[in-house]
Parts: sequence; structure tokens; C-alpha cells
Amino acid sequence: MTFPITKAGRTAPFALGDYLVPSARTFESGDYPVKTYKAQNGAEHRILYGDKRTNMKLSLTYANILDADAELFLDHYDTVQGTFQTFAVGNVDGTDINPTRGGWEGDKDALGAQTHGNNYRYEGPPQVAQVALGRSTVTVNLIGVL
Amino acid sequence: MAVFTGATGKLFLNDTTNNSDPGTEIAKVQNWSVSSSVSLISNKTLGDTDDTFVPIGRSTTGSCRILYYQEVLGTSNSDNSASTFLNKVFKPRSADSGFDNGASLDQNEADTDLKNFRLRLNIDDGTTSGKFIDMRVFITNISLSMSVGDIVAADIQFQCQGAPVAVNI
Repeated sequence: MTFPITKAGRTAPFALGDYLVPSARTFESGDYPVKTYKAQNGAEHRILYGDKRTNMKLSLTYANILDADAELFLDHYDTVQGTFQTFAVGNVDGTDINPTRGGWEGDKDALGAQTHGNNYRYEGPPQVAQVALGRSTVTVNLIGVL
Repeated sequence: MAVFTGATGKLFLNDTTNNSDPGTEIAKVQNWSVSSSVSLISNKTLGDTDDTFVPIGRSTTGSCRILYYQEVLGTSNSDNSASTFLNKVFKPRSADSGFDNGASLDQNEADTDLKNFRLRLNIDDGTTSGKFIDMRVFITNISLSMSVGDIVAADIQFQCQGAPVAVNI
């Protein structure tokens, strides 16, 4: 089971309204593996231990979505054994549409983890808040790991 | 084309559990109004330019103004006057209770389960039942005012309990 990017019960070919687009997104771009040492004279020495940026943090909020769609995230969290397995936040099959990046007009790679050889895993369990009958707000926090 | 004026308006009150009975017609109603508001939550997502919403709830409230009167001066108030509404809220403390623990908050002593009563806001269009909105309500505010040069009347605000019982409007 891939990370939920289309709504429950929708099948290909997908239309615009079939995508699960977040209502809010934050992204931290992570860092290269750098170790910093401070000498006694105050000089800083940095050692680069790798050539891949990692530890990106992607937080997605899906406000007021149907409970059936909220359930997709809970199911996916279970499928990947919680925070254990990694997965790709990919495109819709056969397209270059990535609903998790909805609204972003910059370079698509800039928000991704795969470009740098990373995959995402859950940083913690999805948070589901029931806001009305049949409607919930889901927040998922992902972290990019090599 | 037929339009309606205040002369065609009626208000019925039903204190029983019999929903098929419209109730007692309140005699001296000066006005009534009802409004329903719908709660929405946004389901706008990133990339959308315009707001989109999903309805999640509805709330119906209303108000009316009823004259306070007696059929014959010095006798009991009729059960179709403002007195009926006033007595649902204004209640004396009981002899064995303290000042902060008065009479029941129920607004319908005959129906201790629901505790509310039924109002029918009616427009007489010449048919048997006319056009109406039937709802079970709680009085949320009632005020009786008296002033020189004015008729004594009660202003009542009410809140519908759940969805209206019947609507034919």
C-alpha cells in the first residue's frame, strides 16, 4: 500500500477531485551529515561524512476530510509497521502529479526526499481529530532517511 | 399571486406529547420570527484559489412577542397568553430548598423526558393546516416589560431542540 494520495474508493483514471491534497504543509530540508568540532582556540572544524542530504521533515495536514480518507493514513501507518519501514511519497500512477505537493509552484524536486536518495518514514503516528460527523483532520509527520 | 401579511400569522403551543395535535393557539401574538443557520467547515486545500465548504450542522432559533392579558380583569390568566410562557421560566423556590436551588428547569412539566415544548409557527393560507414549521423548543430568554403608554408584553427567544418536528412551508 502506497502513501495515500488519492481518496478512498476512487479508481483510475483519476480526476482532479480524486486527489488527497493537504490543506497545510511544512517542509524542513534536512542537512548533510556534518560533524562540527570546536578547537580550544575557538576555530571550528567541520567534517562532511556523506554526500547525501537527509533528515528532511515533511508535515502534512489534511483538514476536514472524510473519515474514510482519514482511515487510509491509519491503514498505511499499519502497513509500514509504524515508524519502521520507509516508503516513497510518489506520483499518481501514469502522471507527474504529486498531490502532497499541491499548491507548490517551485521545482518539484525541492520538496522531495527521493532526489537525495532518501525515503520517508513516519516520525510518529498520524494524529486524527474528529471535527464533525464523518469529518476528521489528519496530521502526519514524515522524516526522510537514507 | 398571493402574499401574506401579519394578519395570517398564528402561533400554537403544545405542552403534550401528542405530536399530531398542533396545540393551543396563542391568542395575542404581535410577531414571530424564525431563523436557521448552517455551520460550515472549510475543505479548501493547497493550490485552491477559492474557498470550498462542507455543511456540518444547523441551528434554528426564533423569537416572538406575546401580549400579557386577562380575559376578565382580576381573573386567572388564560392559558393562551404570555403567562403560559412566563410560567415556564419564572418559578419560585420551594419551601424546603435554599435560594440557589429553586424549582425545576424543565419547561414542560407534562413531558419530563423531553423537558421542552412544541411550537407551531403558522401561516394561514386558507387550507386546513396552513403552512407551518413545527419544532420542539427551549425558551432561552424571556422578558416582560412594562412602561407608561405601552402595552405589557413578553419578548421571547427560543432555541429549537434538534431538527423541526414537521415542516410545510
